[in-house]
Formats: sequence, C-alpha cells, structure tokens
Amino acid sequence: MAVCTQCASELGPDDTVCARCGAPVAGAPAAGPGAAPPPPGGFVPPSGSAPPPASPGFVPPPPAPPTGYAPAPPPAGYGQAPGAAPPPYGAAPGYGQMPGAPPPGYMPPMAGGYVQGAGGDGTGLLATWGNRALGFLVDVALILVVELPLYIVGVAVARGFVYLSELAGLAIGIWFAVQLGQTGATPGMRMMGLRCVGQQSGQPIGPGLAIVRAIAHIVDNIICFVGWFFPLWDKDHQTLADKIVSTVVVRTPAQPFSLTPPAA
Amino acid sequence: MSTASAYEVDLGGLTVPSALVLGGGLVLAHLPADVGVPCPLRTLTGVPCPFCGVTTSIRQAFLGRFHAAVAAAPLGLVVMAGALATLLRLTPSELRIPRWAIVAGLGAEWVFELFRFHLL
Repeated sequence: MAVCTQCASELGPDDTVCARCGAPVAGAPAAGPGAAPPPPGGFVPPSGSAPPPASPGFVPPPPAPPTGYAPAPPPAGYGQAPGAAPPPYGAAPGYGQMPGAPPPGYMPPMAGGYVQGAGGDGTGLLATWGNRALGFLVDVALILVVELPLYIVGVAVARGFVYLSELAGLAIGIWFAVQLGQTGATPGMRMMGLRCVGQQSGQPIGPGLAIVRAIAHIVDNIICFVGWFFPLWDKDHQTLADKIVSTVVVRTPAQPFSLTPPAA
Repeated sequence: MSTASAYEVDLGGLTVPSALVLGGGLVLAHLPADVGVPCPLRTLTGVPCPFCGVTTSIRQAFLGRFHAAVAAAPLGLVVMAGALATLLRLTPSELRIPRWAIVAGLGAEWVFELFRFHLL
C-alpha cells in the first residue's frame, strides 16, 4: 500500500492527492483546478508549513499557497504547490471576484469538490466542536425565547398555547434549517463563524437537504445523544446527521448577530 | 476517510472530554442519587441503545463496584480506559479502527443491553 511522502498516511490506489495533507501523490496524473477528482474524504486540510498571517477577516489570499484559497498549479496536482506560487483564487481571469471585498462567508468552489486552504483566520478549516456547540446553543436560545413564554402561558392559562409554542418552535427550526440550506448558516452559526457546506460541493446544501439534515439529528439523539459528540473524534468533525447528508461545518469570519442572513 | 474499511479517529481533541468523563464520573459517584442521561430510544420505545448504561457503569466503577459496572455496560469500562489512556498520553493522535470491529463491538454491546433489559 502506497503512503504519502509528506505525512505517511495510507493512500488509496486511485488517489491523486493525500486525503490527510493534500500533498500530490508521486506518479499520479497531473490535474488542474478544473480536472482534479475529489479526494476520498472530500475534505483536504490546508497544506503548507508557513505560519498564516494574522488577518482580521476573510481576505483573498496573496499569491502564496499556505494562506488561502489557491488552486494548485496544474503540474503539481491539486492541493499542494511545493515551490510554486499559484495565483490567488480571486485573481483568476474572468472569475469576477472583487479582491478584498468578498461577501461574508464566501467560499469559492474549488476544483473537483469542496476543498480549500485556510485563510489567515482559519477560514475554511473544519470547525471545532466547541464553536459548533455554542452556535447550536444560540439557536436553541432563540427558539426558547419564543417557545417558552407561550408554553408557560399554555400551562398556566390555556392549553392551546402549549400546542402553539410547539408549532412556533417547529416553525423557527424549519426557518433556521432553510437559512442553513440557502446560506450555509443559522443565526447562531453566523455569530460563531460557522458554515455548513456539502462535503463534495463546498456549497450550501439547499433548503430541502438542510431540513433532511435537521431531521437526521434524530439519529444523533436516539443513541443517548452520542451522535452530537462525534465531531470531537471524527476525522471530518461530522455528526451522524452530517454523515447522512454528507456535510461538513467549516470556519468563516464571524458576523454580528442577525436573525436573517445579511444581504450579500 | 481514505478507506471504507476503517473509521479514522482523531484523538487529538479528546483530552478535555476525557477529563470530563473521568471527572464527571467521580462527581456522579458521590451524588446521593444515581443521576444518568435518560436514553431517548429507551424512553420512547423501551428498547435500549448500544450506549445505554455507560453513565451508570462509570459511576459504579468509581464506587469500586466493578461487577456492577460490567453488569450495567461493559462499554463503560472501555470508555473509562480510553479516557485514562488519553489523559496519560498513551494513545496515538490518530487511530484507524476497522469498521467490522466497530460493528461487532457495538453489536455485542447492544445484544448485552437487550439481554439486560430482558428483550432477548
């Protein structure tokens, strides 16, 4: 079994890049940004050893490989550019991205699927369990702010308000799921600088699949809530619901609190 | 995951959770009542999940009742051993566990729990 020359991870027979560190596989066919196959895990952590610069927000990367979204140059294969300086993603001819002014949370699609380097602030890296938990708690708190008063009124005054509180909670949950599907983030996730994207596409998964993902959290709950803790040890930091719908949660610059997605 | 036959575990971030498992077990053992996480599957259907009894198992182990700990859930002792090994830095940062081993282990644990609740 072949192993990666950079990190000694085991390589699959068809791998062109290492799923662990993104280094190209020696002897693998060269692949340009538009032709590289997705890595087996869908996610390639950023490569490079230079320390990232301390940038306050998302900044399109300078022409240096370790700091940002930079497709690898065709001869080197995808995800690794030893000794080469690929152009920044935003500078690609015809791409139309304004350098320095990307919309919040913007993550450009990459060749062959969802793969990106890390920005100076860690943008694009898999999110930590702690941040995800905090974002989740913010969302739950928002739901409770509406649901709890109605529930209390329901218990104290009229039973109908209990059902109304449950309906309200469900409606807000669906609303948040739709936001996640359309923009990649719920209000709590925006605050914490999180973005949920398809493991292969790197893009928001759409409202329908986002609702399926929300329902799939039943699986995380049903096994004594163990599924919620999977990101602590899972290599792709996925809950079981993430695995079911093939999503990952990555870091983006945090945004001020807003119930609805800010205009792009 | 680079292969379908193995589940890759990243143990690098488990130091704090391991400390919480062992610290929580220690606290639980000295609470006056047996406080545990209610299993949603068992609450809803009466059927235990493979992870049922782990909290009780850890609590019993901290009370020195290892027989009771095994009787509640052998997995609890495995979790404790893993947490201890993590804190003592005896584990590698990454681990590849064959999927068949996960399925077999959790399957055996589930059968154990089904027996324990007299469903088998």
